[in-house]
Amino acid sequence: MVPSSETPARGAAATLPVKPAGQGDYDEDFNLKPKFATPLARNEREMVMDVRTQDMEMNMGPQHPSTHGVLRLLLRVDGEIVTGAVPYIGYIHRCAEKIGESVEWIQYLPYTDRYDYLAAMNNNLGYSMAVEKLLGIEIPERAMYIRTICAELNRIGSHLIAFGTYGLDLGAFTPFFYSFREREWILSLFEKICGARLTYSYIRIGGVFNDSPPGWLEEVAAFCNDFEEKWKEYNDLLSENSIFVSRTANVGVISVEDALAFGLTGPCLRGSGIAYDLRKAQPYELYNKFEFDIPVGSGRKGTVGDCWDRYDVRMQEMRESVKIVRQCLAGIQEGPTLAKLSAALRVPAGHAYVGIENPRGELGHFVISGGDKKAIRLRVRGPSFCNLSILPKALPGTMLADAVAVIGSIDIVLGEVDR
Amino acid sequence: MASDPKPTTPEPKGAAAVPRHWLPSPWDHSLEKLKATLSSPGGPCDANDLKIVPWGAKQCEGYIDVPAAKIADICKVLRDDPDCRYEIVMCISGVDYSKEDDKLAIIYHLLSVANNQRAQIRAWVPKAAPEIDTVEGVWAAANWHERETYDFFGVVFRGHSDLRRILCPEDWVGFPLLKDYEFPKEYHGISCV
Repeated sequence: MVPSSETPARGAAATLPVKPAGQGDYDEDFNLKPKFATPLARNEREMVMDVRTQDMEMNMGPQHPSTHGVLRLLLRVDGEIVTGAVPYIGYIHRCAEKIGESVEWIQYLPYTDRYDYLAAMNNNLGYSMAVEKLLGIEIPERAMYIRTICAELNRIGSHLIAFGTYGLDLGAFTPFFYSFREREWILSLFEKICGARLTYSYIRIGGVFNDSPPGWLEEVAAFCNDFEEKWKEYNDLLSENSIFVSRTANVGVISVEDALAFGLTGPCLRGSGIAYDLRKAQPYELYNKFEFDIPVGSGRKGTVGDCWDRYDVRMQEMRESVKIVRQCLAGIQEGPTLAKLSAALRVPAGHAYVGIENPRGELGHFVISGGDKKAIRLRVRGPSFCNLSILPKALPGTMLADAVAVIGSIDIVLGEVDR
Repeated sequence: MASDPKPTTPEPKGAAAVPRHWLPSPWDHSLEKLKATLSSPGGPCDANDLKIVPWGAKQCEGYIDVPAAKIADICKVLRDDPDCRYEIVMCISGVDYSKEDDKLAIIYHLLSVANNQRAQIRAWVPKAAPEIDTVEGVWAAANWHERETYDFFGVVFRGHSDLRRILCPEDWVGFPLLKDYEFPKEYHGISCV
C-alpha cells in the first residue's frame, strides 16, 4: 500500500474507529480481539501515533519452514499486524489432471498417492471409488473392511503429523518426536501390508491389492490399545499447555459464513462449529455400520472457529478413528479382497463425482469416461486447495507471528494444493 | 470417442441384482425438482432453457444444462432458495469433451450442508471465445476454482477480481487441458521432450 497523499487534518479529533456491531468483516459473535480486529486507517493512525508509517510487503516462503511445503505468501504488514495476504501456489504443480487423461485407468492410481502424500490410502480410495462407480462393480466385503482400516489408520497418521508440526510451528519441539513415534508404527503396519511406507497404491479399483498378511489384524488391534494411552499423553503435552493455548485461542477465527463461502471442508469446517462429516452425512463403503461421533469446535478455550478448535477437532478425530478401526476388527470376515477385472480396463461411458472424507476435508474425484481405456476428463478437487483459499480473508488483522498459527491450523499439504 | 464400451461385468438382471453404485445416491437433488425451482415464476430462467441430461445408460448422476448467460443469477437462486441452499461450491470443472467439439463445458458441483444434498449444473461456452460471468459474488471459493479453469482452459470469467494463472507459471503459453493443446518443446531452455 502506498502512503496516502492526503495529509490528515491535524486538528481533527483522534478517535479510534468503532464499527457498529454486525458490520464490518465479522459480526458480534465472531469478533477477533478488538485490538486487532481492524487496523487503523492510515489517516487515523497517523493522528493517534503522530508518526508517519508505511506498510511493508514481504514474502513468506516458498522455503519457509512454517508454510509446510512450497507455499509463498505475499504479506503486507503494518508493523506487527498483517493487513493483507496473497498466496502464490503452483510450485510443485505436476499436471495430475493432464496425466489422468493420458494414462490408462489403472495406471493413474500411483499419481493419486502423490497429491496428499500424508494420506495416500485415502486418495487411492477416492479415485478407486469414482472409477468403481462408473464400472458398477461390487467390492468384496473383506476388501471394504481392509480399506476402512487402512483409511482410518492413515487418518490417524496424517493428524499426528498435523499435531506434531503444529506444535513445532508454535515453538513446542517435543510433541513432534512423540507423534512420529506413533506414526512410525502406522507406517510399518502399512509396510507389512503393501510394502510401501508413503505411496501405497494399495487400495485398487475393485478392492485392495492383496489380503492382509497373517497376524496383521492382531497388530492393528495392539496399536489401537496402545494408541489410546498415548493419545492421553499427547493431550496433556500440548492441548492444555497454557503457552500453546494462548498462541491459538481466539486467533484466526473463521466464522461459519466464511467457512461455507470459501468451501472449507473437513476439520476446518467442523472447527467452525458445523458437524458435517461425509462419513456420517453421506456414508460410503461401510461407514453407516459404525458408531462414532463427529467432533466439532466448541470454543472451549476461546471463540468457536479459532485455531485451537481446529486443532482440537483433529485430536478428537484420532480417537474416533480408533473406534472405527476397532469396530472393523470386530466385524471383518474371511473372503476375497479383489473383484475380477480385466487388465486392460475399459470403463463404460458416463461420469461420476465421488467425494470422500479425507483427513483434510472432501477429496472429490470427477471422472468422465467415453467408454475407452483412458479418461476424457479426470478432475481432482483437493481439500487443501480450497482450505488454503481462505488465507486472504483469515490473515488480515492477525499478528505476524499468529499468521504461522493460522496457516498451521488449516493443515495444508502442498502436494495436494498444486497437484 | 465412440469405440463402443465393453463393460467388464455382465449386465445386471432384475432390480435385486443392480449394484448399489448404479443407483442415484439418496442425497442427489432430484433434477426435476431442481428444474422446477429454477424455472418457477420469478426464477432466473425459462423451463425451455433448462435441459436435464442423464448421462450414460443407467444415469449415475445427472446434470442440468443451464444457459451460460444467466449463470450468476442461477447460482444465486441455488444458494438462497430454501429447497436448495447450496452453500458450498465444491468445484468448478472445465471439460473439453473432444477435439471436434466447438464448445467447452463448465460444470459446477454444489453441496448443501443444510439440506445434505448435491447437484451439478453445466453451462456451455463457445471454444472460440470462451467467456462466462463469474460466480465469485455468490461463493467466495469460486475465485480460485475459476482461476484454475482459466489456467487450464482459457475460459474468461467476466467480472472476476483477479483472473490470472494459478497453478501454471505466469508466462506459460497455451491452455494445457484443451484437447488440441500442443506440448511445448522447451520451457526457458529446459527441454520438455
